[in-house]
Amino acid sequence: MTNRPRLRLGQSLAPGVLAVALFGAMAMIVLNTGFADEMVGFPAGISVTSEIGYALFDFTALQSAEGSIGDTEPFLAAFLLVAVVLDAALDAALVLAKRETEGEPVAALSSRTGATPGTTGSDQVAATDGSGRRRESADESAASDTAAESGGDS
Amino acid sequence: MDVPIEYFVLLSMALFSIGLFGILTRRNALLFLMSVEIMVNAANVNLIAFAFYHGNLTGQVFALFAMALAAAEVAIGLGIVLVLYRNFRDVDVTVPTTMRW
Amino acid sequence: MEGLFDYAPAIALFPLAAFVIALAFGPKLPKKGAIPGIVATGGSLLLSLAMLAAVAGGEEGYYHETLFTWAAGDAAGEIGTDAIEFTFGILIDPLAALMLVIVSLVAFLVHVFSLEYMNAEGETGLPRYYAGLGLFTFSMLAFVYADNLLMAFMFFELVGLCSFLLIGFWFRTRSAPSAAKKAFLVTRFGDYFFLIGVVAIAATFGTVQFAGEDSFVAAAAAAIDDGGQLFGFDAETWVTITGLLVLGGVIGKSAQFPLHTWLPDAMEGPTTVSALIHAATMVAAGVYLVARMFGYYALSPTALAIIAFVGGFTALFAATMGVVKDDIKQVLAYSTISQYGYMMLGLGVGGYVAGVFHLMNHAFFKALLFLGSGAVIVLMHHEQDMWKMGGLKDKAPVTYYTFLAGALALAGIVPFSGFWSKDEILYDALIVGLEQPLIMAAYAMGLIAVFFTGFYTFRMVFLTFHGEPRTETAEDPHSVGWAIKAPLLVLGVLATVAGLANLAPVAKLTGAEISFLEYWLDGEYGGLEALTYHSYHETVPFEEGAIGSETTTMLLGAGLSLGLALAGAFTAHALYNVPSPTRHTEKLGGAYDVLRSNYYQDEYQVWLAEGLTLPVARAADRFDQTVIDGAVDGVSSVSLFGGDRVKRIQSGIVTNYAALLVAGFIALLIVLGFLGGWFL
Repeated sequence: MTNRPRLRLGQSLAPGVLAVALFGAMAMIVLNTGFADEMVGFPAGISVTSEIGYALFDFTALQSAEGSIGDTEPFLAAFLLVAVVLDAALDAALVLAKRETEGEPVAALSSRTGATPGTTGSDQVAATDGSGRRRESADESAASDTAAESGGDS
Repeated sequence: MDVPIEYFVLLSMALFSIGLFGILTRRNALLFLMSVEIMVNAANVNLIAFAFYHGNLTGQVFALFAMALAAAEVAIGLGIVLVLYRNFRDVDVTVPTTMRW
Repeated sequence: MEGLFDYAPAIALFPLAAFVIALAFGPKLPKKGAIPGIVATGGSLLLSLAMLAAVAGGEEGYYHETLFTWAAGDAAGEIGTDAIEFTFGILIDPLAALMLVIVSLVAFLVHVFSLEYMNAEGETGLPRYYAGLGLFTFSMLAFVYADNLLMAFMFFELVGLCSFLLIGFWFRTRSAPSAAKKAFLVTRFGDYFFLIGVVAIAATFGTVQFAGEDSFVAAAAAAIDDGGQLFGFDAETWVTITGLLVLGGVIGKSAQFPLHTWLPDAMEGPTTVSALIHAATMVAAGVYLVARMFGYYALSPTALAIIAFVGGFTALFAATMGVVKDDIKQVLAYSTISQYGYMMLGLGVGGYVAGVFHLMNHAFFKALLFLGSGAVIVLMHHEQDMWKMGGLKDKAPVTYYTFLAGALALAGIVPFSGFWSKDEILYDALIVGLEQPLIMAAYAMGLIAVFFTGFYTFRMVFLTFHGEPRTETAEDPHSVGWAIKAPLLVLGVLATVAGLANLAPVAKLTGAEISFLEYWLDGEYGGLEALTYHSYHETVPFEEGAIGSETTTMLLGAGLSLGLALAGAFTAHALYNVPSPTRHTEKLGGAYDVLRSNYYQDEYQVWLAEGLTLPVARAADRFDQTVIDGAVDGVSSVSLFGGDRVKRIQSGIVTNYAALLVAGFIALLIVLGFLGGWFL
């Protein structure tokens, strides 16, 4: 079912106005800020990627000495912290996704044998194909909504 | 090649506003997450643009970190969406209003 | 001899130890705490006598030592020293030494007397009683040798507290707690002014010492000589104001008009406590304070005149009320007020020696009379109404004769002690009064009071001891033991002969040097330079006159007062020394009701409290309840109401929060942008 892009007023008018107003305000400020015309940029001949890598692992000795890339701080500690945070997030996601049935923890990604199809469909969202497809379709329709709205706005 | 910095910033702001508009209008939690990702990436654009503008790599490194943290955030966010669905049989963020006063 | 003074703190610490022992171990002790009390006060008495001897025999003739500095600051006074110190110290000069002996002697005798009066009667709560006595004695002794005004104030308050505890000893009755509260509150009212006075003196002169170079007395004298301004007043006016503030405490404690109303009610306490309060401790504290800082009052003729006039008025006022009382202790209570009025009169006219002399004599004969009345009460099985007594003369001769000695002293009949001191007061008042009309009025009131004193004293004696027994208990009285008789005999002898200490009239007539007390207080035996009668006499600004010669004046005054006293006594004799006396009150007519009701003093004070203070307090309370509480309640209601409304923003929908955030952010951006010029 395809609809012609329409400007939907009503519920999304106020958010739209807000977003546009924010953009306008920030754009005004940006345009009124006197940035230098010239970007400093990075000198040619130095691999930015490898410089970043060295910075991440505190390999100060390997960094290009004569290049004109400004002093890059060592980031090993931050890197490790982020690693820990990611790990924690993974654990947290697993904990959140884990279901408990009658006090027994059930693995998030395994389907229980002997469960009725009806309950499987509704309970094990991530695991079953059917619900996964439904979710995809929902996402698609939402995406088309976005497209429709942005089309309407422009 | 030398695009003035203003355009990068304007691009970033446009992305941010689009993400914001998504947050303000969508009711689906997954789309919420996506909109937030757009906003995070708007910030990343800024970081990288200004790194180039100042000729300093720190901004780029920070953009990498921001992506990593965004990944962590998405992991948690998806977990929350799962719980949300399990408790309310829906992923509409306007349904669970019980956590207010 | 000098080393002896190192033991001076022990004079007060002995009774304190007795207090602690009685409180902690009293119930287990054989006499419930009486023995430690007797031992402690006996020790204090011996030490005080030793101090007296040391003061008389020492080279310096006084002892002044700061024991403990508990606060020191660099806040400067209006004038005087630039750093103020608050200390505990001991000042033992002739006056303090004399008073220490009096207080510890009376306290000792009261303790002995209590053995029979309280213990033998099987009272409950005796440890509490003896603890109270110990603390009372401690406070008074420490007050007596305090070397600065603040320390004096603290122990002055402690004395008041102890009187509260002891007057309310029988706290299960209805009247005793009420009397105790009244005594506490009324004296507290006076002490409030005393406290302000202490603060004012400290703030003005930067010192609260009684004696020495840096005493406030010396500072005040210097300030008056300089003729400067103190807090916007003439120096002398300011001295008068502060002196009168301190006098507020004196009037409360020494039961002077108009704060005397607590004292008759204080008769609710045990008779021994009354003896202690009236003779040596509580009531004496006020007059002693005036004597202690007499140098200060001597600087201000106005303050002196007020002291004299209040004293004279109180003497007459209380004496008239004593005439119609039926309760033997009530009569004595009014006589106490009256006699302290005399002391104030004496001090007020500059008769420092006379005032102290009367303080001493009064301590002896009033302790005697109270203990005597205690003996009578024991005889009468705790009956205090004089109309139910009579005829006790033959059945209790020791009590009778000692009581009679006290009565003669009180009435001021020659040669008993009271005559000499009272006569000296009246003589001092007369010679000043010849030049000052106000003092003359005070003298006249004092003189008339002599007649009433003689009358009510002998009315009491005749009703109690003479005539026919009027009740069965009076016919067959309870017997009394040695513990009652011994203190009576000691005090009886003292009341008779104490006048020998200062036979000023005889000295003037014969030229013999026998006014010992005057020499004593004049620093003949030592003493501080500025704290002698001699220097006080020079400071006191009153002129003295005479009728004819000095001797004529003296003889005239003495004859007049003796004649009036005898007239009072003979009137009482005629009216009441009959086998069955009648009340004779109908002859007084309407005056009887007025006297009987104590000139409606209680009524008007109650009216002040209920008719004036209560509505004001009620209005203040209403203001507090409505305006102030209303404002506070209003704030909370507004917050509650506002919170109830504002919380509706919290819809629980994430989108709304995000929208609000963004709106706020935009507003912030715009405001800051305009303020910071970002849009230009």
